[in-house]
Amino acid sequence: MATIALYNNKGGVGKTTATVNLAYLAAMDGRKTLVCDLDPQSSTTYYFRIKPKLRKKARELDHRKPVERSIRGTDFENLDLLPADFALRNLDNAFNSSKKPQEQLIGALEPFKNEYDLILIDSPPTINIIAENIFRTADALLVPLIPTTLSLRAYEQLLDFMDDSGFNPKAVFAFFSMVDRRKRMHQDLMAEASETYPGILAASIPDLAVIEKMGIERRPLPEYAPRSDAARAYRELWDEVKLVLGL
Amino acid sequence: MSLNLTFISPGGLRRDALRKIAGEPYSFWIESQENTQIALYDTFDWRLYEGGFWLSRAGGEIELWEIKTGGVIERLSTPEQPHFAWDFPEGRLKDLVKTPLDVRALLPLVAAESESQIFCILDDQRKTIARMALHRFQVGSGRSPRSRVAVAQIVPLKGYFRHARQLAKAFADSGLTPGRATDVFPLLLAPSGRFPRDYRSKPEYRLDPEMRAEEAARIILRHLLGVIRANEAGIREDIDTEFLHDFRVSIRRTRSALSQIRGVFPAEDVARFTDDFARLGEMTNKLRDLDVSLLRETLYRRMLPAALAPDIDPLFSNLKRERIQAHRDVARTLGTKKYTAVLEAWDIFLSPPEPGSRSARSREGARPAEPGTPNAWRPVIRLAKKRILKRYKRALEAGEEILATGKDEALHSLRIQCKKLRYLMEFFYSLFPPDPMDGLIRQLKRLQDNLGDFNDLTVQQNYLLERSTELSPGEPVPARTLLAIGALVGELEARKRKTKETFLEAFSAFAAPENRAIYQELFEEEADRRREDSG
Repeated sequence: MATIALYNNKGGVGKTTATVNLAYLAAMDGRKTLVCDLDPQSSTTYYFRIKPKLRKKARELDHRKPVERSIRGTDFENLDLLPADFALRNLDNAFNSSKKPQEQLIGALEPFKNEYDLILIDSPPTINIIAENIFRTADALLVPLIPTTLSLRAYEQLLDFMDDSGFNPKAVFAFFSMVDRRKRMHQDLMAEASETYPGILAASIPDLAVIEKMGIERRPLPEYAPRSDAARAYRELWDEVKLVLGL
Repeated sequence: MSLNLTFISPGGLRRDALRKIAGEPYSFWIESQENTQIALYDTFDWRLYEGGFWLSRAGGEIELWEIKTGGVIERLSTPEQPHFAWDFPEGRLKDLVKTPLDVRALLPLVAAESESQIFCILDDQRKTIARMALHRFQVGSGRSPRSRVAVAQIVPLKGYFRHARQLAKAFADSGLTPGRATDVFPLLLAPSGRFPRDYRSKPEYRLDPEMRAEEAARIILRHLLGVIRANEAGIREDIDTEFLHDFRVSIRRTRSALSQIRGVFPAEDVARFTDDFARLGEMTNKLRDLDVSLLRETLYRRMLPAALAPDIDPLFSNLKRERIQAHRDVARTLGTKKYTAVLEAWDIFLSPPEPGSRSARSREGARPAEPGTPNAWRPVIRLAKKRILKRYKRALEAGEEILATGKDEALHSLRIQCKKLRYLMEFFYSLFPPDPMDGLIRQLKRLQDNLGDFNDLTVQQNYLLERSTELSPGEPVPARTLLAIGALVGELEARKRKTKETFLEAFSAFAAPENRAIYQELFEEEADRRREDSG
């Protein structure tokens, strides 16, 4: 059983679309998969046509029972979702107030370790107690990066932060997302980054209109556009993730 | 309380019906559809059903259903439908069916057209909140089939149980019957007039204790005649060996009833029909012997040392040839006018008399029954008790003799007495309370099994010894086959010895004072008891 968290503290980098599509590909690959939508924007939940629950109080992650009751089957075999909850916005409070706040998520997901082959977490774009929980729980972080200098600097900072805090998830990987193949600067930057930074995957996700359509289609891209370049790109990404993580 | 998600609609369902029943905001989307033929199978005497199973075949795949849970417990792909347990490929399905099936053949019960659809049920976001499997069956083709049945199963999706519950409620409220998938099968059988256990060799009639003995005898014998007739076709078509077995057992029971339920019918009628049935039974002896011998083929091979096992083949190839001829003879006899005449005469004899006929008057009026039939008008309960008790005592006597003399012939005599006792107890079963009747019969059966085994082993030995002089007229026995026969006779002797050892235990239970007390309690008449006490 492996837990992968899609993480970037910047929004709009293709994190959620990657989460949805990788989860779908994993499920089609025969892996029993649980997607956890911890992003208060609840986009992952939206993409799966699931209605997030409106809760006044965020006691979601305190006990096992509520988490179990919240899990929903997606339309796809092998694929379940733990929907976002608006109250997750307030979750830092809930986390901070309980004992061992940094381990709440581990505890909440522990019972599902035997039920699922893969847990994918759509992380909120924050650095706070929730992020800390995610870093502790995940076997690997998967970081989508837009090919810009600033983006890479942020990546570097993340790696340093990992080192300094001693979290050390077993692996941190990154992949380039929203790549414009026509831009020379993207190409150069990607090549240089692969030399300079550890963990950069070869697969990258292009910036294509068909990916944006996911908001209208409200289903995974390989479902509605299986033969597109975008679908191929996600499949390559999934294959590489399987390889480097030994899944 | 768990939610029932399966619904039956006897009479079928129109394709759009469930959409309408589900109502707003649900929409349906077909995920897959399959059209196929489905057929149900069981033995003539419903052995799989009795064992808690249904067996269906659709599209080259066998499905074994468990009646208790209403679902499929095993599936198997086979190009051809197996007839016998040994035809099934090795696996769990074979393991489950082989005990109930024993040596009986599977017969098709009904065939139906089947349309199966899997739907996704969608909410207002067009999110799948449940799936539904809808199976629609039709017996008989075209626009006016003989019957239609449908079954709908809601398959909930994780986290959407509330919707499943809502749909289930809507279905139930609209008049669909909550049930199990296996509930469909008896409905498919209905148009052909069949129903589970429509053939049972065991009697199901109930006798009234105050009924006239003659009337009771007719009821018992009518039932037996029905069983005889029911098995004719199966014998002629040679479906499996048990049709002949049930046929013969019913003939034996008929003769036993005629002989043991005394003074109820005029003596010359009894003599005549007893003779008719004796000849009928005899006519089938050879075929039955051969069937039994051939069924032992696998067993004999296992009993022999590996080196000799193949040498028994000449014996069986001979038996197989003889068997084909013996079956032809029996099948031909069953088709003769003579045979039909015998059963018809019996049928007429057993029928209630025409009003106004001489026999009718003697039954209705206050006049006594016909001469030589002192028991005809007595209440059957008195006759039953008397005969059972007498037979029990005779059995005890025979048993005591074995213990005293240790002779094998005495075992034979006891076996006969036990058989007669058992038949009586089965004829009159409905007159007595199941407790202790069931216990007495069970115990008697144990003793009978022991005696039967001993007898069977002796018969086998005799048969093999007979065959040891020549396989068939003019055909000498190969030396190695003789060796094999010898080895088998020896092995059978060892088993005989073992059976004889356990006889004492089985008989002791039968003859124990506690058991005698139960028999006396149940079957002794007040008058007889008083007579015994005084004298």
